[in-house]
Amino acid sequence: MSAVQVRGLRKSYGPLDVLRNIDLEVREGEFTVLLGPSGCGKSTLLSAIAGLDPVNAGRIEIGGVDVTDLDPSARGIAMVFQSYALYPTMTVRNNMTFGLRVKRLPKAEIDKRLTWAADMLQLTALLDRKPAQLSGGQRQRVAIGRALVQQSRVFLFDEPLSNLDAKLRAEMRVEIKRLHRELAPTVVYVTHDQIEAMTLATRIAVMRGGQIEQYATPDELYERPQTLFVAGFVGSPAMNFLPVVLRRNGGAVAAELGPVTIPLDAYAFATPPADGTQAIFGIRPEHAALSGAGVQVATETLFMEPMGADTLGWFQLGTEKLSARLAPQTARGISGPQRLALDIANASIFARDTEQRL
Amino acid sequence: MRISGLAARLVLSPTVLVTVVCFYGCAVWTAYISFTKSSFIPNYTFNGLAQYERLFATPRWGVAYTNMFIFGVLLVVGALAVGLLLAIMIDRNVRGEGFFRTVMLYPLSMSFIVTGLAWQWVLSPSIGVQHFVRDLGFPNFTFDWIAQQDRAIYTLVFAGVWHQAGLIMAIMLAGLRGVDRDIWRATKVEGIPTWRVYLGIVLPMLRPLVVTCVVLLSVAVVKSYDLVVAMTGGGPGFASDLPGKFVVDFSFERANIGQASAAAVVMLGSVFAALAPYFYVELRKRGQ
Ligand SMILES: Nc1ncnc2c1ncn2[C@@H]1O[C@H](COP(=O)(O)OP(=O)(O)OP(=O)(O)O)[C@@H](O)[C@H]1O
Ligand SMILES: [Mg+2]
Repeated sequence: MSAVQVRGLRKSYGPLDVLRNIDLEVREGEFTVLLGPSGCGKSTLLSAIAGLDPVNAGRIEIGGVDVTDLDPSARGIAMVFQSYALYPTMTVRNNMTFGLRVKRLPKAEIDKRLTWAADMLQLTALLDRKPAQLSGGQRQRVAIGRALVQQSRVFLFDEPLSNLDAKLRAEMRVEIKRLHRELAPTVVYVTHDQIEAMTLATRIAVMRGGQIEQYATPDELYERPQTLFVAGFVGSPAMNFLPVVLRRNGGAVAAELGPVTIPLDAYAFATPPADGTQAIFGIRPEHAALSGAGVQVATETLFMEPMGADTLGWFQLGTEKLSARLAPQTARGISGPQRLALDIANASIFARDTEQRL
Repeated sequence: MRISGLAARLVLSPTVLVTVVCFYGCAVWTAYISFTKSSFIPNYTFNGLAQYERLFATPRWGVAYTNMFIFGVLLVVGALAVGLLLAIMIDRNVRGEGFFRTVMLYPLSMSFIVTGLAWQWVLSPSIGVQHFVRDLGFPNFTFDWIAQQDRAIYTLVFAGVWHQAGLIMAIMLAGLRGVDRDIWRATKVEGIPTWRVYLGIVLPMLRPLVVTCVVLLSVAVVKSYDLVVAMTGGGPGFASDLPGKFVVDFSFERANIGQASAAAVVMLGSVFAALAPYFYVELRKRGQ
């Protein structure tokens, strides 16, 4: 059953189309991440689901109910904001319970939920502090706590960790993951940090210019990106892109990169491409190795880029640069001409005009 | 660094001098005079509390002193309430904001004298509202507060609020605009009614601004001499007298500098007494 269903959603600010015909389905208990560069409409989509901003067209269902015209508070959602949006003059306790008290819930019930959420988020010792007396991570936990006590089935997060430093962000990521495992709520989570997306999501919707480019599991997204944009946006260090021309010779397809020819027998084309198709050959750095099976290409060593656990080696292949992920000990002492083995089965090939996967 | 520090000091020194001599010096001198036998001219013979005893035995002072509290409390509360409501209205309904803001701030650009004269005409029974409504065909309509002993002071409050509300509105509006948009969105998701958001969340956030407004309004109360003079002249009789007018009248018209000084000192003391607890609480909160 789908917890959140968005159909044909459109939204524009004057002449600017911010959301163009968005379809999105989030299943019960799923953790969906909206990922994309700044300005692609992630927050706008989230606000539309929350009902905070009116939309131009489309339909939104939450828990099987059409909520398109309902107030945010009637949609059964809770939301956590990038700026935390805590009420600055209230203590943590009051921040978390104000909404419940306004709804006139029984005091015992309020206390029960407060205790439970504070426990869950290790906030018990902080209940009588004001937001100004908390660290960024603690504030974010309070914001999450305020969402938890509402006991909604659907949680919306808008870049909740982007104001935290790298270490805290990693901690909070684990925290959010744990909460999701224990409580199994449905989550829609906006971020432009792909590590956050990859670690948290059950499915990721990659957005660009008001459209969803691909909606798939993190593995699928990483291994079989459907568009050139997704391939370039997901993965760090980034995928190598080589402009090639596809040549057909009987049943066999090969990619021509200037004088270099790369046989593509191991690649599973969706539909066999025509001879002479202009294409982009994409291969991730970890699928280019100094030894092993795969298509061998002759390269010239350029330089090494140590990254800690791995070293990114850069090689000249014809007129293009190609990076390969190497073990640091292998990378030391490499120079001159090298043969690289490319794992074609894990490559991605895109049409140059449509930017779609071939 | 040294040169610029010296320059800054040189530039500031006249101001400091004026402040010390004219404000604090005169205040001390006035306080001193109030304990002497001075009447028409300063007389430095010490006379204990005699001036004060005489002052509080003067019926006109009793009226003026009481009026200061009526006028002060009502003006502060009234201007705050009206200014805040206007700010909220403008903040909620953004259309025509520039127009409304200008209209509301306009009274402030007028002096109290002009304000007082204008309201004197509007409220005057023979040419103002009462006359107008009677001409409309309601011959029994009566609105002559300005001419009534026990009502005249409220007409002053009315004019004062009209004059000051725009300023309060402008300050409060700036504060309302500073409230994080996400806070409003969070309350919408939680389903908190708008009025509860204002009372429970937004107004407490604006507390420092309220303090500023109270200070500004209190200053207006204490120095509101011109408004009284222009609007009611302290009348009918001395029913709408205020200490400021009392002091000026006694110094210059009645030429009783001893009484005027005693009144001025009582005024200063009262203002301190009224505001001290408020600031004590506020500043202590701030310090926490
Ligand atoms: N109130 C508004 N009026 C006009 N344009 C707007 C408004 N709000 C957003 N936009 C535009 O809509 C587009 C999408 O905005 P949105 O906030 O959804 O982006 P985002 O993906 O959340 O980006 P970020 O990662 O920076 O938060 C942007 O181009 C933005 O300029
Ligand atoms: Mg955003």
